[in-house]
Amino acid sequence: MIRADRVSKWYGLVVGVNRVSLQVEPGVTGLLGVNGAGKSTLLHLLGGLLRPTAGSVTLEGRPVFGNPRALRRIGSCPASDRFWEEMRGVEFVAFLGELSGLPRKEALRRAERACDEVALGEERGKKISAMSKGMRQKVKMAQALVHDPDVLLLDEPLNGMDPPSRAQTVAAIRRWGEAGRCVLVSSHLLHEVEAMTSRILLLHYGRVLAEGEVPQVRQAIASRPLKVFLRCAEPRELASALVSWASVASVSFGGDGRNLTVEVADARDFQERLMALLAEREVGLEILNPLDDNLAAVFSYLVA
Amino acid sequence: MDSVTRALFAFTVRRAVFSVRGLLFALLGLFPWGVTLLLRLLAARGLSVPVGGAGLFDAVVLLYLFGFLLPLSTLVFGVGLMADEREGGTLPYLLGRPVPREKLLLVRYFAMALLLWGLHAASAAGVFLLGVSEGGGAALAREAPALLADLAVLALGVLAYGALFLLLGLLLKKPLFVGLLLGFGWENLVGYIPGFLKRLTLLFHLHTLLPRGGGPQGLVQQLLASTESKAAALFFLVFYTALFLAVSVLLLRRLEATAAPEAEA
Repeated sequence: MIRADRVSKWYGLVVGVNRVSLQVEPGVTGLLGVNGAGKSTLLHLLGGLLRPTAGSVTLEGRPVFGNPRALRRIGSCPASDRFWEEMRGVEFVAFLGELSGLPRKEALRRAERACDEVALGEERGKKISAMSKGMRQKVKMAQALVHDPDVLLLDEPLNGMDPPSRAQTVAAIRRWGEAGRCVLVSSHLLHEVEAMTSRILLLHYGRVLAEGEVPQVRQAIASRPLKVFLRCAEPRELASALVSWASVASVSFGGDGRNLTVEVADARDFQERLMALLAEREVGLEILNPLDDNLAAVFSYLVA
Repeated sequence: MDSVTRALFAFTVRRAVFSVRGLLFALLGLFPWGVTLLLRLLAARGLSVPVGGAGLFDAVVLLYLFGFLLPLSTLVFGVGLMADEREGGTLPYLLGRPVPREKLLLVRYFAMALLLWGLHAASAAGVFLLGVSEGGGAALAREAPALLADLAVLALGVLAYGALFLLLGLLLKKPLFVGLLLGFGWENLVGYIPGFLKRLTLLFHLHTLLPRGGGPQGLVQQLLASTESKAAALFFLVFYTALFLAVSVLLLRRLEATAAPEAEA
């Protein structure tokens, strides 16, 4: 589908993104990074709004920048809160639908549908200047959807939304991904991304630091052993077994003496051995909980 | 007309008309009507007025429309045609759509030109009717060809100045100041210097085409002297307009909707 091949973007002497290669697959991919990491630049490059300084961005082999055939299949939702303020929400969406080649009536019909998709209720008939930030975000998302694109590029789409709107939008984004669209959604709020997808692309200083499913990425961070919490009836017996395994770096006791925190160097080996041990012995395992294979841990280990 | 052209055309016209600057220029366009009406009323009361009838019409066209409203309106609307989108942050919506960029530019340019020509035509026609009708139906019929010629030259003026200022809007980050210098400095000052230099202004060629402009001369004279033929004037205007539009299209093809690093912070 859409592909960046060693793409770089420089703003004078400032690096936007640097030799980034990626392919956006069907489903939802979370684009993560701190402020200034290059998320918006990358989304603008993929959306054909910026010309690469080096490398290429292509959609099924065709360059994207300034190419109407490629742009017909891409929907971009920019982060900036800019509109033609005097327009009404649905009018704004329909106008951009018309620019995508839809006849007027069809554009209006699709605009209504896109507003429904993003749960923009009666407010769609209001002037954009009179809308709240959350409503304006929804208008931006609706215009990205109106021409039914295969690729959706959403830059911080949940900014300024209230909790119910966030939940609706997260559900909508998941739905679009499940429907086979290639959705790349940027955020610096990890729990939001985690609610949408487990597939991430982590940018830092304009470079791709990690990409893939969160557990895979976590597994690949060899310098940081995985922490696993265990609670069982026979902690000493379990601990004595664990310390003899090569995949276990350390074991520590906590709480009332029945809690163990294990640092695991090789998660797969640890998992296999633990399953075998539990089948062999009765240690009264009550809780088994990985502590840091989540997105927040991955992010902090790689970026902090 | 396809749906994209229609949508872009309507969008451009609506944005220009329903705006503060649209209202302001509508008032500026109607201003000569008020002046003409006032002079007619004063004359009807037996007061002595400095100018009236066809003379007033000529003065309004030459001094007010060509000397003031044409450069000012094309500057404000021409520069803003794409620069407003860039400064307003709405460029991604236009450039991210599957519209060939030359189409995006040309449709918006012609929509603006038609609208501004309508403004100038209404202004000129109103003065013509209010002022020249003083001499009765015969005077109106006698001067009508001059009105039509003026309207045609105004159309050329809107197209040429519009293209120039559209180019400035794409080329410069602060185009208004340079546009004012060009429109009211260069155009007016150089136009009165004898020799070839005035051919680098638009106003000189427009004046040549006006019904009261200079007559044709030989080729060498045309190059060196202070007047030129109407055909040469037309050629220069078409050439400049085409050149400005071609460079504008090239610039727009390369234009990016920037996501500057500071925007991410």
